Amino acid sequence: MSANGRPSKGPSPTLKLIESSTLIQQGAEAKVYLSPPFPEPMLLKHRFPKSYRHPTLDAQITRTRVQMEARALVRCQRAGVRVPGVRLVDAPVGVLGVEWVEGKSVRKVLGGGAEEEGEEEDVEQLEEEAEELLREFGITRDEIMRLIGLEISKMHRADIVHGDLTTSNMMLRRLPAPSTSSEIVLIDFGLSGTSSLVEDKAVDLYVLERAFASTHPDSESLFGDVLEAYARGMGRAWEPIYKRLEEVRLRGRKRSMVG
Amino acid sequence: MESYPYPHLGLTFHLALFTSLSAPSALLQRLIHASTLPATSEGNAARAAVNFAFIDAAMVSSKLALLTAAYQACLAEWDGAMKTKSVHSEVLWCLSPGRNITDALRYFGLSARSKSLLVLHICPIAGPHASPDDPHLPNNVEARMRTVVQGQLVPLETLSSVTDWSAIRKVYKVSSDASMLQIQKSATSNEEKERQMNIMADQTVVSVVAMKSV
Repeated sequence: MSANGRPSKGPSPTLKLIESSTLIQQGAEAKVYLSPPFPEPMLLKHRFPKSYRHPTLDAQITRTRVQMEARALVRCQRAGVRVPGVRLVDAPVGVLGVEWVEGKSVRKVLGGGAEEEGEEEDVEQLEEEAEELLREFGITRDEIMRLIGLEISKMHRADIVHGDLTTSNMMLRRLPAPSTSSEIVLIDFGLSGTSSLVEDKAVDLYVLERAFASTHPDSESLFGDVLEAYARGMGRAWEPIYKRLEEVRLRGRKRSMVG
Repeated sequence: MESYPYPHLGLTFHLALFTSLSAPSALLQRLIHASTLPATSEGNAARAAVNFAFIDAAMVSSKLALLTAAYQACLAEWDGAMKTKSVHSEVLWCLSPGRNITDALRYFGLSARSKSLLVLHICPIAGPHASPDDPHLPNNVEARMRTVVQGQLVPLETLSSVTDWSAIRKVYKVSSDASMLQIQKSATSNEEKERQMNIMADQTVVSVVAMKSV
């Protein structure tokens, strides 16, 4: 018997699938892969075992996190939020497979650089690439902000908070033909949770506001467009959240005063 | 019939769609009878002959939904965590949103009312040097399916034309989802709304099926 109680007969099929997949991102918590087509390629998020944790605890934590993320995605989907669909869940192994979203990271479309420390990128070049992408998608920065605000409002109305709202966690994807427009898809719900608290929703927005300020300093004013679309989506719930957001701003970054 | 090999599972999913079923009750009786036979060579042979998952095609929102259910069933088998007796019956359980096995078999399995059937056979991947009469070869699997099912074997693309969307929406309880209501309120034709709602229902079904284990 292995640490998580599974019969030990070699690597699990899902781990073998990971072996035949392409690594696309390595984080502290998980590695992200592109799988071969079964029947379509999907994105595999593997929360690999952490040697610094006690094995029994590690298995428990991993299993719970996969569970939380899968549930959040499905809840969002049913609430009408644009998120990748769930395709494969293997909690004991720590793998979550989701729909592969073919599109561009909003971070890139707004001229932000690579997330990890890489070669220094020419700001002008990034801006040029961003302009090119906006043209390609046939969309304006204003429109993107509106779409972002709308998606977050749908999510918050379903009492789900993302936990890590940044432009790297948003994708711009073309709608299928014959449409010529695009949509925003929210990704990476690894830090998400359920909450009806005004506090948590305000912090969620604040994280995005800070992300805009640090990653896209010229787009800071556009964040107002995000809030406008968000306010419209939230209706009467907007007022208390906005009040709290102002308080959170005064406190400092990511300060949730709960717990 | 289409065959989907999964090298990491060591298994192939063979999937066929039959419409114009002539004798669903007779096949159902045969399945029930085979399951009650003792573990003699005769009994085992009878069970082997109908060793397929028989799924009411009207209740399947897409091929992806079925393949997703089949994968999760195989995972459960590998894990020794199956809720039902065989991987084929497990597929039916994985398709069903509830925990009750009888309900799963009743709603998603073959019944006297079934008009079309998705027949799934999960077996080891046939080796590269398999002899022509190897039972795991696709053409032999298809031949066995044709012997057992009285109906017309049609391309899998036909599946969308036999789907009972209102039954699916009911069983998976998606009609009141904000995602569906959103589409209903949108400003497009009824036809377009219907089409989008079916796509949305399928997306929800696939996700629900995929995450049933958690």
